[in-house]
Amino acid sequence: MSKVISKIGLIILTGVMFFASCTEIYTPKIDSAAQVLVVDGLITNESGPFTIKLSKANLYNSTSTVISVTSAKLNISDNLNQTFTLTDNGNGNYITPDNFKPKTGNTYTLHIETVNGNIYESKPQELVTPQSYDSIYGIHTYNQYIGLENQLKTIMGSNIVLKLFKSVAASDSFPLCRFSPTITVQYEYWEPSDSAWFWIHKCWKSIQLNDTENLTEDKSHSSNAYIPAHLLCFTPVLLEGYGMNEPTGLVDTHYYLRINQYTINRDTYDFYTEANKQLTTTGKIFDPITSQLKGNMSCINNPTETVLGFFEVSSVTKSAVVIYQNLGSLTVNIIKVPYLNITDGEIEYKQVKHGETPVDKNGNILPDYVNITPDWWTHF
Amino acid sequence: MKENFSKIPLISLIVILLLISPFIHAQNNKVTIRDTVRMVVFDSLAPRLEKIYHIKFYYKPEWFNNKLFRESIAGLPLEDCLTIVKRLTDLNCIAINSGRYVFVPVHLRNYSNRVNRKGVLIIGEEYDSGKFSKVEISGKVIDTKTGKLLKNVSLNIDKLNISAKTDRTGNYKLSLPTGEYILRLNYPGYEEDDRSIQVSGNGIVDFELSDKTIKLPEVVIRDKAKDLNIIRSQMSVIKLNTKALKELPDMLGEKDIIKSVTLLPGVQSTGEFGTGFFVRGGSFDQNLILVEDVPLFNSSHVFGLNSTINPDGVKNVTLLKGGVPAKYGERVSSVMDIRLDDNAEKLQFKGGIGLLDSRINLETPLFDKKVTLLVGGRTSYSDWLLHAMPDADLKNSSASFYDLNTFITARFDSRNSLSVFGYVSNDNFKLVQSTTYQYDNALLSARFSHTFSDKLYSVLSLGWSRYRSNISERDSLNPKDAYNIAFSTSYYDAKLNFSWLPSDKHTIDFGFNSIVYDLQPGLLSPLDSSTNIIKQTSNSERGLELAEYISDNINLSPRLSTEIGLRLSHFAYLGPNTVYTFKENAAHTAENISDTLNYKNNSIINLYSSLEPRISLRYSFDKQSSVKFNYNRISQFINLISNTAIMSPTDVYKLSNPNVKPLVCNQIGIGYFRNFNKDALEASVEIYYKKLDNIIEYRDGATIMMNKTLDADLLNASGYNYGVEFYLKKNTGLLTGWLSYTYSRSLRHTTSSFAQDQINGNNYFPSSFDSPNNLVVNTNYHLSRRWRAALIFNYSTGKPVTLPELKYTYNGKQYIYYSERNKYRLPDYNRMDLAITYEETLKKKQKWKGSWTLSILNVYGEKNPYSAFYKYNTQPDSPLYRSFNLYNLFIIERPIPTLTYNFSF
Repeated sequence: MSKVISKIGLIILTGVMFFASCTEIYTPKIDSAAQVLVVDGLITNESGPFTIKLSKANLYNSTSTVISVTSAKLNISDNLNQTFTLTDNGNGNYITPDNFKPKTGNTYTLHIETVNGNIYESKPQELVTPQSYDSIYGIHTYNQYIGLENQLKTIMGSNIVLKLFKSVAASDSFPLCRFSPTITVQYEYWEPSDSAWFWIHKCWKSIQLNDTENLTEDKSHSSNAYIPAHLLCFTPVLLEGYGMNEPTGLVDTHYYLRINQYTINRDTYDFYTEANKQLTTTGKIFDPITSQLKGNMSCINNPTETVLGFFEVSSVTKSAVVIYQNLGSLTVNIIKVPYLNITDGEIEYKQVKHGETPVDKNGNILPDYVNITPDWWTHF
Repeated sequence: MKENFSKIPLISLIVILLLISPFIHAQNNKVTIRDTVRMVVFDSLAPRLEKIYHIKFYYKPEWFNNKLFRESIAGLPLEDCLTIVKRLTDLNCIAINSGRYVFVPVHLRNYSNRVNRKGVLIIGEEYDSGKFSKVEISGKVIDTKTGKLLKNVSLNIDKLNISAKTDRTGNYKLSLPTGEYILRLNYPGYEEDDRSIQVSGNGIVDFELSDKTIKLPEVVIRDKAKDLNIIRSQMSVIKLNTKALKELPDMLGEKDIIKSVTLLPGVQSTGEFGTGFFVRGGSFDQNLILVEDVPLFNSSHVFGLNSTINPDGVKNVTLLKGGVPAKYGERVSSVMDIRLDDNAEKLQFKGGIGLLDSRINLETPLFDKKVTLLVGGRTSYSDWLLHAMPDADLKNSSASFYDLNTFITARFDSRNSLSVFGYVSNDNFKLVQSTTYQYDNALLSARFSHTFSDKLYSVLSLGWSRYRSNISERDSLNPKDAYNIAFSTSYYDAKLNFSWLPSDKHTIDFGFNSIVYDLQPGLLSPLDSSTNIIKQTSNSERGLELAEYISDNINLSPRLSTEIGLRLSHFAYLGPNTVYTFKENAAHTAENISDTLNYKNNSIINLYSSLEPRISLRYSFDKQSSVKFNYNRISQFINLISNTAIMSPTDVYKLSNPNVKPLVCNQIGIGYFRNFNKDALEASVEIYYKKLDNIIEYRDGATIMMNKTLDADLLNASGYNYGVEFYLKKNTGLLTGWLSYTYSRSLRHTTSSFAQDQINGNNYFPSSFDSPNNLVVNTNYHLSRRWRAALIFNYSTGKPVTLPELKYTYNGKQYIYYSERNKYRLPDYNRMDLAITYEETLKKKQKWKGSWTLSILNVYGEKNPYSAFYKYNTQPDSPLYRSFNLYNLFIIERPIPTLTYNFSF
């Protein structure tokens, strides 16, 4: 045996292994003549009005824009036999009437009749009681993603976490929720003027933080009476690569985070669960073969016809916080603030000396600095 | 794509020309040499003959005693020339194969010295056939090169379970019933040899064996007898013996039995590195892989890099694609019967050191050779490979495996023997630190053989097989939700088989099989005591399969033989279990479950029975050609539930129940077999048609794990597979190998009248195993005694895929709508692999024998898509802003060289 061992020791194993499993964009020739209706509608317990969008699905390889479905007749009926007719607002948008005020506990059904005579109908959808999260906190952490050159990149930030359903009895099933977190950041860049001063651009930009649908966990597998840690989103410290084109710098390292918490019924939960299967497919060898996403709409006069999308009826509670990530202590401070609808945009004003009044490019006097940076923005 | 197509015919042409060139060459060399009157010694004559006929002679010059021959005899046909030489010298000349001839001073004695039209050696007189029930044959076994008498050579007749050994003087004696058998000769350091013999009466026969190290290893895969493909009743059978197994290509550093089998007609691989295989359009779980009588449920190690079967220690492998004898049932597509070596003559180690794993195998006789022991094992060190992957997920992963096997055979006397087999394998891989997959196989069997008389013997086997898989996940944010899901499949069997030889014309096999299945399709549990996960189980399943069978192999005449069999299978689905019933006249969806029935322990929930006729028929036109027909019906009561492209750790097995009916397959096949050039070249054409009922298909996005209403996610389908397989194999010469082309289809359709239970509106669609065109060229070329090169080329039609046809936006996100099931196909597949082997030593007495193999996979770096998938992708260099696209996944996109050292001592 010693001979064997010495011989094995002398064996030099050489070999160049490049098991380069890789992926490449694939552009197959697709042939389909299908004209499939897509329904994109959400009604909530808010006062409205609500918009239902109708469009046609595009061919997968097509580069054309969305084809709107116009001149259709839409109405929503409820379990109290009330019917509300929607008005065509153009571009495939249909608006609910002013008297349409959804109430929790009621069920709503969407009816559509398109110009070609097809009649579509949703399954009745119940508007469930709205829920709110119990508390929110942040944990300093790191996140990883794969960069352009297939390198693993690490970014610093914090996980924003919710505690949920403390008031729900352990024996009950959890309410079903989906969350839509949006952060708004403020940044600025300076534009040289003809003179010695600069035009300052102060900008707000909102970013949807999750690229999948954020759903509550299914309670059936856990003995917990509540959800102690539901990951709402990851907020990075720096926003490099987050889609802002010309920031010379963030005004501050804190963000305005708006949280829409939708309490959803079982149909909606199942739909978004299936949607996530499409959104999270990675193409690894153990992935399921395909996941066809089917909604709650069907064609009444031709049951074999496919109709895509979903008519969602959900309760919503809205809240907002400001998040400050302290890089010194590696802590995350979160303060509840009013919920405001902020649209993306920027304010441009002249660089001024102390005591001067800021003006915009048109010479309009800006009221004061507070209007450029709202008072709720800095709380630390 | 155009490039691919242009490349394929060119490569095919080159390889085909390479394969057939020796024949063309040989034809051209049949020229007449001008007559002369010169007389020469054999030393002068031999080189001329060697040059003309591309052959090699082995002899000692002194044996010729300076005998002179007319030089002109070199112009005669080789056979005539050798006859003259033998007559003038009194030497014997033995053809080892068509390229190598050995002169020996000892005459082999065979008093009848005849072979029949099938090429079978006849012992005794044919007209004595039927006179004796038991006869005796005796003789010597000699070394073909030296003429030396060999002692302790094993002579085995597996069919009768009879064996004998030569004594000190090289003599043997066998007592056996008359009939036709395969006699296997085995001697350490020598080539194992199989001879077809027909024993009609007492006789004396000498056999010769050659030292394997002086013989060029040229036969790649061959049957036990040269013309067994012609004479046996069965068709659609692939048999690899020890000799053939040794010659399998060393791709990726070691021989992989299952991957090698996928190079044969009608058998296809699951894809790059997938070690599962599809036979004639059937899914992976329709193959019964038996290792020493017990089934192996998962045959692939980590990521399918190689198969779980350690090639060292395997004695032979038989794959039945059709015409399955009544002895076998359980799975509808194929039976792969793997047997381990039970004939160790001396202590021997074999092993190999590769880039991914190393292996060692020990074989030794014990207790005066009454007991033989085989122990083998492999272990991996493949983590470095994963860490070198460009994919970030794989880079942060780890993988490992091992397997161990042991096989002990005790021969108590000439009538009784006992074999015990044990096997364990384990695979572990961790994906991105948080998710761990683990699976293992455990197999145990005991086989007791007893010979009641010369005409009746029996084999009792008891077996146990268990396949388990586990998935555990620990999310750093919610450590209290850390869970483990375990699956297990247990199989227990008892099989009693008898063989009865009432006359020379009949061999009757009959027996009884019983199998118990015990399945746990999901047990969710907390990963440790600190987690809050509630322990839950999916409904466990239990079933009992019983079968009785009888078959008769009848030699109606030398030209006509048949094997007729009948198997009666019963399956009982047993409690405790919960069975769902669905509303009548409604789709079988979860919403339409109308009732839930609970059954007590071991109560019979439902019972299925199936009568399965088996027929094989062979008619020989002459010694060189035959036509065969077969029909079989098989039922399968266990199915793998998998909606992934290859077998994954999340797949579960499921038994037939009131909602999931047994899979039934009816297959017919017809084939024409013809050998040329004294069996040097085999050719066959086989046509088959299979009808399958109660195939399991899946709803879109079906959930398999922990699904209590899994029955509602499964769809009932039927389908048919058909194809034609062309096969041309060259057995001898410096260049050996085969060329095979298969045209086959595998189509499915659902049959429900409810739209929800339909796929593609009940229209036929190609199954995932449908690959119409498949071309394989496998060649082995012996460059010299030390150097050997192997080349494999494979072309097949792209796999069917379901692709996105439409895209749309909902709630601000992009979604897709897929085409009908398997409407499109991936680009066609083509790949060439090359291996060069160098033998370190050719000396027989050298204890350490090593060889180096350099293999290159995907020589010309073809990018063959493994799958097409749709996914969101980061863009541009951002963790948030994503785009969607359709991608092709390539497993091997460039040439992969590997170097392996194999050894034995």
